[in-house]
Amino acid sequence: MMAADRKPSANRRYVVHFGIAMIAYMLVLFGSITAINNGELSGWSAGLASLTPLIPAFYALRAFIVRIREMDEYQRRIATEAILWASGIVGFASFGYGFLAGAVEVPEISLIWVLPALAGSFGVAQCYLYWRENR
Amino acid sequence: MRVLRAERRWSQAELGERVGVSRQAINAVETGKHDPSLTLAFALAHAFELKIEDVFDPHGEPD
Repeated sequence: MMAADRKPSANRRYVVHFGIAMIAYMLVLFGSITAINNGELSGWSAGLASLTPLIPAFYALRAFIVRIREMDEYQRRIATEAILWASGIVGFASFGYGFLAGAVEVPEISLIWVLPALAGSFGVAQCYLYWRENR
Repeated sequence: MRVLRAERRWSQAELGERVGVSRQAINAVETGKHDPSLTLAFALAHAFELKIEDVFDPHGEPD
């Protein structure tokens, strides 16, 4: 209940941890791409190196989950609904694209775009829900 | 609830701070767009130094 007592520090803590995660993500991504492209790694080691950016990405996810837990009940309801909308939009879009790809020739889309699409849809859905509630 | 808050000359942010929620949460409760949990309802009643049934009417319109 006392979520808002900690709200400014909770927000700041989230921004700090998320920022650290994003900086670490870029550094690890750059390192792994460089190592793989230089041919220093091969086979399983290259595969493992390609997955290392997931470690800071999980740290970012943890920061997001902690932020959700620290929200008050109203903010959490909006965030939860936005997550459902984002999951639904991306899920149905990929489902539909899969059906489409089975029927006609369509450009191949990398799975790497799923996470950015989820994050973007969540942001748009959350803005829309706050706008809808306050109009 | 808006009337009770206005009587005390509290802003939504100030009331939110007293009960530990955001300004948006207070606004949503006042406009009837969010049904507060029992915990929040008790906290709001406590902030107004009233009984919960003096602040909320389960059958009434949001004020």
